[in-house]
Amino acid sequence: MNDLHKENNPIIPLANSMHLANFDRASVTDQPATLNEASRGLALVVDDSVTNRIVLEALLDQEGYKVISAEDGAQAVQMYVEHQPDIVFMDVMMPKMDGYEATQRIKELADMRFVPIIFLTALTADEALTKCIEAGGDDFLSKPYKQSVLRIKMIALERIRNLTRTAAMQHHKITEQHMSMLREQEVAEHIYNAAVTSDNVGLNYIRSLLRSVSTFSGDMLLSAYHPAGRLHILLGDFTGHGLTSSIGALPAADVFHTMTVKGYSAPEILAAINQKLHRLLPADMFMAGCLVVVEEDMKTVAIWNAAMPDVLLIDGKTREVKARVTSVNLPLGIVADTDYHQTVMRFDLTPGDRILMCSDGVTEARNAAQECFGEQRLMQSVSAGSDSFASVIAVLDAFCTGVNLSDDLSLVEISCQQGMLENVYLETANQRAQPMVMQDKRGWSWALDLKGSSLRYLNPVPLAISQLLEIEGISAHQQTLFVILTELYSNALEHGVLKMDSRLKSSADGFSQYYAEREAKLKKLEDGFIHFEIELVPLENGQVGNDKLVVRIKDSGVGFDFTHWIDAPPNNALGLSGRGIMLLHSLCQSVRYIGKGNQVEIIYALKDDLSD
Amino acid sequence: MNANVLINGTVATMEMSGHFDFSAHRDFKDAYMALMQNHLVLVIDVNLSAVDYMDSSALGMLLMLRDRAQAANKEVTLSKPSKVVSHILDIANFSKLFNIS
Repeated sequence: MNDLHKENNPIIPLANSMHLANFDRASVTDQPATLNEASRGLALVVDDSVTNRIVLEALLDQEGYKVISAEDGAQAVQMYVEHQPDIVFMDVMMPKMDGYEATQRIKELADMRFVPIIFLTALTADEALTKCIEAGGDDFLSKPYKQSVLRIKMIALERIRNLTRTAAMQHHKITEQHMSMLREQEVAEHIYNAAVTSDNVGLNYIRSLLRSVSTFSGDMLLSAYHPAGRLHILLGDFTGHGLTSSIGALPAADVFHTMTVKGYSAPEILAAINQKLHRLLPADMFMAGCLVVVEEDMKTVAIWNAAMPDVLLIDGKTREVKARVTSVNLPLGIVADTDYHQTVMRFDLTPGDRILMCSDGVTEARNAAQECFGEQRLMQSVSAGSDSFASVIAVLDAFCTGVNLSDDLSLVEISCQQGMLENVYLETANQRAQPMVMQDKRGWSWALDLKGSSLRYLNPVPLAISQLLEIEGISAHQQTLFVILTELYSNALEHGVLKMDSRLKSSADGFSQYYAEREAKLKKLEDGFIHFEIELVPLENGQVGNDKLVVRIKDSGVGFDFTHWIDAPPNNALGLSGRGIMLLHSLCQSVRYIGKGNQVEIIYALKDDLSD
Repeated sequence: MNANVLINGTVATMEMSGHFDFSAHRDFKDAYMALMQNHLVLVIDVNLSAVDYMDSSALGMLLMLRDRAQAANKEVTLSKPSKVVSHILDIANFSKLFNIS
């Protein structure tokens, strides 16, 4: 017992661990600050012998501890709860509750907080060690003990305590960061879904399987109705997977939806997506993709493949692959100013035909033996069952049994059936924002002059449509107006500016010859003009919905003899070449040619009730 | 994945082997960045003969190399792709961007 006072060493400085202990106390644990401020910490001495307590208290005080004491185990537990000491010295044999039980309770209460408990025991070493460790103690000291040994044990346990607290603090930080990352991901997922997929249409006719490696997919499926009554479907696959690769999906989806709805053509939309991705993405990121356009008459499909596995056209009845569209384009976002007019494949459609497209996650899926699924297996599985889509999935799943997904995988099937495009009008109307309500003094006009070479690439129709939508919100008329404006504009361009003869179009061969010639002439175009003007004429009562739109268009051409059109609107007998004018007459309230025939004015009634 | 670089006159050959995917990113970049500083090198040939598989991130790395090389007035060529690798390059139409031999 007297050993205790023999040595009187100075306190060993613990700069590092003290620093950690203080930092940790301030930020993580919520201990009462009153007792253990500015000290090595708070020590709890538990012993039923007054003498032992006084000796140990004095010693700990000397070591820089604040000290509190308990006379038995029960009181010790009580004091632990009240004061949350930093270290506990525990006697074994005590009335009411012994040291083992008190230790167990304190350790339970401490939970994640590490409180070193040192047993002071007169029992033999082996026996004591076992019992004290079993009860949850951290170390033991046989009585009588040396002050130097006690000091060393204290230092060792303090180190462990500090390490534990640092770990707890880091764990706490990591947990917080993880929570905040999950929250951010939720928000990002919401935005992603709203921006990328929520505008999709025609989903009754599109079946898709999208499997992704992480929350975010680098694959995306987009669909939108074109005002001419077409359905545009784009499957894209960005480099890599996860959040970084899905970032590019936002601008791409935005361009796709906006431009399709405004009536831009598929090559224009692809060029714009390519341009945008080229501008936004780093050089090593890009998007492989394929765009499928189901034409308004459901008789043709146009397919662009940019670095995706072959797109398959499947016969609705026989389930045979009628055609394969192999990639002839670079992925999007690599080369600026890419033209997509020439890289399309067109096919005849028969109702019931299916179009199957997939990302390379399908063809490159691996089985347990590290073999690729491959195009051969894909082709075989397509014709294997009565339902190609289901059959591909079944064969693929069987192939990949027991293997984790290593890349995002998507498989999309478009069923070209009757009724597929029936909702185009309704759904395009629903896609629109609410119209802006104009109050008094309504009426406006919008004009555009296109001159010379700008006629080669500027298409004023989508511009005009988007103006109309923004100013009047006349989404119900959008499709009809698109048809009218397109007819007017292409007549002015082809027959006026380019001086082409529409009679060329009367045979099937002539038709393609006509378009080849149009392309060639357009490339060389240096002069000429088209003046395009739209005016809203409100009726006198000013009611929205009873207005008239007047469209005037004038071209630099020589005009034509329109006298025989005036009284007798044309009919079907005129064949392919009269179709445009006939269409105009059926859609407009009036169609009037002016001057030598190079000017035309149409009036279109903006009735609320379209069935009228 | 390994990237060995051999320099012979004005031509530097980057010999790739094994799986050419994202795991090769650092090695590949380190290899070509060293070449960018070398004024004697005019052509960087990426030899793909020992590559058994390559994914879209590898295509991205080739594009990154092409970008850097263009800025440094060097040409990038790809050579000896295996059948599998050739197929991947075909789908992506990389022949429009690189001289492949």
